[in-house]
Amino acid sequence: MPHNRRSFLHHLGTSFLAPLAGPWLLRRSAYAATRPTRLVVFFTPNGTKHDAYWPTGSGAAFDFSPGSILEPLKDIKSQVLIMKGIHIKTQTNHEPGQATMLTGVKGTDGGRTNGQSIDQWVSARIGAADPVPNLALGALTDVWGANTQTRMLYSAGHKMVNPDQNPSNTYQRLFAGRTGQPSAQVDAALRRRRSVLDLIKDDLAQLKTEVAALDKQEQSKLLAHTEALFAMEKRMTGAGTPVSCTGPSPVAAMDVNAHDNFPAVARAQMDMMVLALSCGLTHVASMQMAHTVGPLTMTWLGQKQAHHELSHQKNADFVTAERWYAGQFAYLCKSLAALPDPAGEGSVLDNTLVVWSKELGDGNLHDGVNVPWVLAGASKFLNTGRYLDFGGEPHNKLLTSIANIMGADTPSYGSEAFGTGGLNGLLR
Amino acid sequence: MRHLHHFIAGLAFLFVGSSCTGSITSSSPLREVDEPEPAARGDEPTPSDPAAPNETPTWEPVSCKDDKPGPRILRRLTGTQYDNTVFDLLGVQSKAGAEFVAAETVEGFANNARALTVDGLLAEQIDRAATSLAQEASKSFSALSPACPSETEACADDFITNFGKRAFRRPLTSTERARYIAAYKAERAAGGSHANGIEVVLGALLQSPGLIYRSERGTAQGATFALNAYEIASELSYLLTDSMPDAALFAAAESNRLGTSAEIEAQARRLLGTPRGRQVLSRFAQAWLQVDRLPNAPKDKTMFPAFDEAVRLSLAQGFNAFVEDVAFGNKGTFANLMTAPYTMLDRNLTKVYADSFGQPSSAAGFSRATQNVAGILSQPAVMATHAAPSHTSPVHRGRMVRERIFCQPVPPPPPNVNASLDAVDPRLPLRQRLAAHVADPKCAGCHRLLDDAGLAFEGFDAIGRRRTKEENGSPVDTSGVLFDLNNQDISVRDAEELADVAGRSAQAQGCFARQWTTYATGLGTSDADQCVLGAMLSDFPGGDGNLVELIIKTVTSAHFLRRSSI
Repeated sequence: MPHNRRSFLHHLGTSFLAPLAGPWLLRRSAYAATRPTRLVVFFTPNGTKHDAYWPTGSGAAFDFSPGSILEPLKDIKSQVLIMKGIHIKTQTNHEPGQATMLTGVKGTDGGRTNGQSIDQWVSARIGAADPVPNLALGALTDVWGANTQTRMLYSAGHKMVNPDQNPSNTYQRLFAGRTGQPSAQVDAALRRRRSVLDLIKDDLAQLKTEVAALDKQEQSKLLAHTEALFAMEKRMTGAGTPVSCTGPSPVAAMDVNAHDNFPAVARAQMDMMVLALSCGLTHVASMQMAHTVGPLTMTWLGQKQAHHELSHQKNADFVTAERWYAGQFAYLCKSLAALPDPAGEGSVLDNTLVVWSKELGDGNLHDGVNVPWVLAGASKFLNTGRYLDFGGEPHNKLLTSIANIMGADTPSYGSEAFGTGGLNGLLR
Repeated sequence: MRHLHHFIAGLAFLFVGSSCTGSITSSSPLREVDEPEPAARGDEPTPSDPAAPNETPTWEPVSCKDDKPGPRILRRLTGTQYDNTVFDLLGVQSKAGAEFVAAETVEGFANNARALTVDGLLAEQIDRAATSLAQEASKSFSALSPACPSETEACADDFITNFGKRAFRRPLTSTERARYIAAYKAERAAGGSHANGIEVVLGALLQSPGLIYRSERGTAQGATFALNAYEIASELSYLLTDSMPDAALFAAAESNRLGTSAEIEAQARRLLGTPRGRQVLSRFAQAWLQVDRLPNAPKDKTMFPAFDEAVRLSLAQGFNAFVEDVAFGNKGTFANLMTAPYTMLDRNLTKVYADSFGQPSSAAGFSRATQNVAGILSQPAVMATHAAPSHTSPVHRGRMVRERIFCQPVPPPPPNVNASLDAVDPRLPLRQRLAAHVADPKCAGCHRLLDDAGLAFEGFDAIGRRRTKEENGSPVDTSGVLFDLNNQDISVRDAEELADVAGRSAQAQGCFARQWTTYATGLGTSDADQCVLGAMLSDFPGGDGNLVELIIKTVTSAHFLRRSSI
């Protein structure tokens, strides 16, 4: 029986009072108790229009101009940190920006980077034991294939990570079968699923020995496949899965590539992401809204030109489109704020660092100057409710800070040539 | 071979665009403040919308004619190939593969053997597809196993042997067979029905690496590795039909009649006569010219109300029909592909395009309309794909010409260039608005390659209809100069003349062959070097460029039969 939202929350509240155990709680610093335990990356493409973007005022005394791009954040003003003066200095332009944005490393061979994106780096440290160590979701990320235009996450060594752009898949992966109602029927189905998995694991093991003489690329191909099967097995058998993750009702199938459906796809993805974060299925997630350049046209707003085209015209339609994205960011933050954190004090947002990233500063000039970064959440730790100008610091320092906020102790992130150390003024 | 373009960013930018004539440098520093930008003034085309970088191979005349095979590899089925294979195995039209996570595009194609991997996301998608297919199909065992339909262990064994052989496109080893029958027996012993046992076996076969990967490994034979008959059968069938071997090809593999180029050629010519085989070049061309993006290319509904989903679908099919007609209807050449003076219209397309191209010769299916259209580039599907939602985009079209037709990579615009032409009066004719590109030295090097090549197609609007006026009412002007083509500057009056230049160009013909072999071998430049491709390409650019013979040349090359050791 599908749980409704109310009973789901109730269930969470009563059964999840004990803090989750995990290496990220073993902090040397006095901040340990207030550190965020979750990281969310939210991405929207094609830079911005500066004169419509930045708030007025500074520090804690700032405001959003009527009609400005960030105005939809006004309800969560006290929970955001708006960052001016962060430059992407590693490499600029659409694809290079998207490749370096979260890795801090310059791309090679046409744009792919050898770095690791911050979400992957963090999830390897705090999410390894989770049923879903890293939840990468997106909307309209696949119609142009997988390439440097459509991917922003990197595991390591030039390897791009695919987000899932289909809410039905997301539902199946995260919540299907988590009925919480053991029965003979469920047991038999699980028995058969295990049996299938055992067969293909054996088939794969056999193939691996047969191709031992092939080159390294072929070896790593099968290694990756093997890892994927082990991860699938772990999820299938429910190891480490909190029982309360019963999730929403199944997502209706829809054409995920239709521009008209973009809002519904994005909403469904974010709703499931929030539930997965709140019930401990995962601690690191990302939501990629379309991709740099890209065909997305906000038809539901009556727009007739693709977002990327508008980014060059920088007209009223572009501001409208950017405000729509800001509204999505606000929705995500509000959704996280609406749920009590079953594993800590306050809301889920209070213990989550949300990062809104972009690949460009000025979308028309393709530059990396004043790239609009917004942080949100982590309210006991992060200096939220501020509009701060960092005066031209490299974004590598922001990535370093994110790593350290998430509990690492690292002097740099990405290429050290573009800056070491974190940013001052981020923390309370 | 490939030119790499690096952006070196620091306090100053140095822009190196080796394929654009004239070295372009800019020393403008990073802007430290966000100055307000002048407002944009209208519908200027966006000149900065590159295909993903690193997607375009360069082309040089093949310098190595040694017939050297490429590496030993496993090739994961594409999503479409998974669906087609399921159809051939079960008779079920699966849509699962079409929804698999996108494969990585390498040098413009999404079938690169090295990049087609199974990550966590895909493993789960394949698992869900296989599980639901198996649940459904296992309900009627007699349909799965008509030769041995009784619900017994003996027939389960028979099913595993026979269905397994087709699923893996080779006989199962005794170990594999034992593994699968043991799983069937274990399910029965645990209380499952015969159908449950078959569900387990089938659910695994439909996602086993034996099905998901096709092997091109071979066995050691002298200095190289000889592919076995089953490997060659799969190589042929997946290239030519995008699916598993049919019964005749299976029989040839089984009796080891695929060991020579002559035997392979006979099978290839047979397959090229089948409906799926005749689509081989349109499958390639959809990716080559990015027509596979047409389904999701946004179009302005108020400006083009007739361009509905039925028209969109027919447009892609009409493109396929054109390619098939050129290659197989007329034993056509590359030059024919570039210049054939017709398009293919069906009833849906006639409503929108008959005013442009004339009435089709038949009211049934797709047939030729023969006015005002020349070659593959002017096909309405190509023109509609390479255009913005409401207006044409000479820069997109020029980029397609340079990169996809002539293998001349054009780097994206350097940073800090105002890419919106926002100071230009939108009432001016397009050519005058684009003049800013060549007036600015930071832009000129590349845009002299792009703009005129794209402006030649201005006689086709954003959905590919003929037109004589631009969106702002100015008369279209399609004349221009194709700069730096084989070290020449060639004047063309319009798209028809441009097509003629391409059709006669050895560079374009070589570029086409290079991209075809990238697609056919699933190997990028780093794996398929000049010597691997030597035999496949050596005659084509110099010969008459017959398209079917290029395919035959590919499947009878050394690479198709043998592989190198590491």
